[in-house]
Amino acid sequence: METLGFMLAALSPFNLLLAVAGVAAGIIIGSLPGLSATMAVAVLVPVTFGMPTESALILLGAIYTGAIYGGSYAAILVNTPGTPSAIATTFDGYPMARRGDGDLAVTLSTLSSVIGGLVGGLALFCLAPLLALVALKFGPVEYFWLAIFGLTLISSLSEGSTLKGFIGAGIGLLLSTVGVAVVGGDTRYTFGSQFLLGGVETISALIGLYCIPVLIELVATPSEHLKPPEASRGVRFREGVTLMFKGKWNALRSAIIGTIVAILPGAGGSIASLVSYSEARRASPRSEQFGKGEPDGIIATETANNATVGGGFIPTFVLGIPGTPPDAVILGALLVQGFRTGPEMFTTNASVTYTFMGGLLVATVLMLPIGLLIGRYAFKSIVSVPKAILVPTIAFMTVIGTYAIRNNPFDVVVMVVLGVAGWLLARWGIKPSPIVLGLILGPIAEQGFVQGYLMGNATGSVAGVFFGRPLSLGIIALTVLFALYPLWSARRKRTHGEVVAHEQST
Amino acid sequence: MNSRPDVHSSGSAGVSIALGLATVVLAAGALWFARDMSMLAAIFPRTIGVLLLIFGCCLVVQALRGRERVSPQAPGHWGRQLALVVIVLAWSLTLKWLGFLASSVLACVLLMGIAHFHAWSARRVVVYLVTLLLIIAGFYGLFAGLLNVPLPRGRFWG
Repeated sequence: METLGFMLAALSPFNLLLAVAGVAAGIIIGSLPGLSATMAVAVLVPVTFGMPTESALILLGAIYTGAIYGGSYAAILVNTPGTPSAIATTFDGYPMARRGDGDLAVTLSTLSSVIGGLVGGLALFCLAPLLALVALKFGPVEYFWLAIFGLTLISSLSEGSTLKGFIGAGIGLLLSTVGVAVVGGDTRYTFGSQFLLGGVETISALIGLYCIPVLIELVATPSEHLKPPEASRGVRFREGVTLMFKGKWNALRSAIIGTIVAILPGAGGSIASLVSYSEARRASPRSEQFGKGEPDGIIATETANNATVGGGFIPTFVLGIPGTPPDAVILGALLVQGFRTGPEMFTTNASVTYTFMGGLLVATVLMLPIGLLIGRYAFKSIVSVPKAILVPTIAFMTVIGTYAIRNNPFDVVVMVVLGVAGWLLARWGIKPSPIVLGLILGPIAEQGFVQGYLMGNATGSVAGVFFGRPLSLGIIALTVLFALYPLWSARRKRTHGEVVAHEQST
Repeated sequence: MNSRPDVHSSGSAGVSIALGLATVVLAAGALWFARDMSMLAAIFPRTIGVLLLIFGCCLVVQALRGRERVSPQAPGHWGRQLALVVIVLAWSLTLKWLGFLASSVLACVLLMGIAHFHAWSARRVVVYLVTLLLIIAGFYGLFAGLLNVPLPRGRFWG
């Protein structure tokens, strides 16, 4: 009963105002490529120093959840993920917008984000201490296997040739090794350039690989960027709700995946959305429609990435280990306020913790009206903007967003070069997603592998370290299952086709 | 753009062979430059290099066996596409010495020119230019003023 009282404290006028302002600011910041959720939260941390702790946390949580959702706008309307966690939203969001269903795609993204956010928030409320224990069981070797598991998603993400998908992932993995080695400290592939010492910045690469090809294609023909709607259809809320209801199991599964992935420190929303997209595609009877504007694709990715918000707070609060990068910033803000994470978050400081949880749930619900309102105007304005304004505007946002990540002009050069290379590779069948996946998973895989190898050497059994733990074996089994499933599925379809053809001929 | 659904399709067998060979060259380069690294630093890039070498060879073999799908590339204005690449690249290279604002205004005006496919009228030029400058000013103000991002001022402007 006391807990409920703490949660209801989130409904005070001041906290509600902060939640509305945070969600709106987060949506706008998240929709701009280059301005990630981490940056949105980091920039506004100083604003919270004078506030009561629970209000400060509510504001930061609202910005975070709004930014993760806002990333879907740019993904749907200009094929550029506003935040890394919206990568997979481009797969079906942009094809939907191109065929004139951008308004429906935005509504679906809003509904999915709200549902994902609520599931993640409720998991934080109900299961925090229990789930945090699971995260503690993950050692370097488990992270290595988790990264390898992530790489098996390539077979789902590469349209056409799986081999080209693996080449793309290899390029991404190789790019992730540029700079100072994660273990050992050697400089690798810098060719004497001091600019490359810091490595290839993931978000710069992401912006380049997704944004520059869009710009190049925009100036290729005089045809419209997006198909404008034939008549004013509002936000197509009822249609969106019907599609959500049809995809309810997909949404629930994706929300659970998002929550679980977020509990693992370092994994983040991008991996959660890619895993859930892959799962949705595998489980769907319309799997061949994925990548061509399938609403279930948007439901999967947007539910998962917003579920990571609540899920990521679980290890942050219970163990003091941030689940996602924005959680690290929020953890810093908590420490500045004089709070220590751990069991006392749920005992001595229970009022702050539960008021924040209530505020996070309120902010997630508020995302529905605010998101639908902003989304409606975002779609209308993007459709009506002429290319002569749209192209320089996207280019400017791309350049300034990339520069702002590390205040480094060289990142902009790398972004442009990777973008042009990505455009050429895409024309030759290598999509940007496997490259980005390799770039994200590379450091996780390498660190896990090298640390596991060192542990194996120290204990005298490398194989025992990599294959001896039940959790590792579980992830390996899942990896093998995911890697072999597409082959088994293709073989089954071929056999089925042959049987049908045989029956028709006889 | 909505009329060009197959713009990112797989290339011809020749393109796949070239891509396979380029992958082999990239892998060989990765392995070559990894030879001076310490064992711990080299183990991961070497593994990727070997895998890329295998994938590249497999792609060449598949293309030679005619397993690669051949799809025609959609036609487009190559001149405009090339111009865009050159402008954006020049923009990124001149950010530091020309200054963020000057290089951005120049590049955006040029991009506006190549992204417009219809006839220009004096009114349209003015409306588009004013709109574009307002957008640039808005974002510049947001980043430089509100977010305190130290955008380069350029060597020419003191």
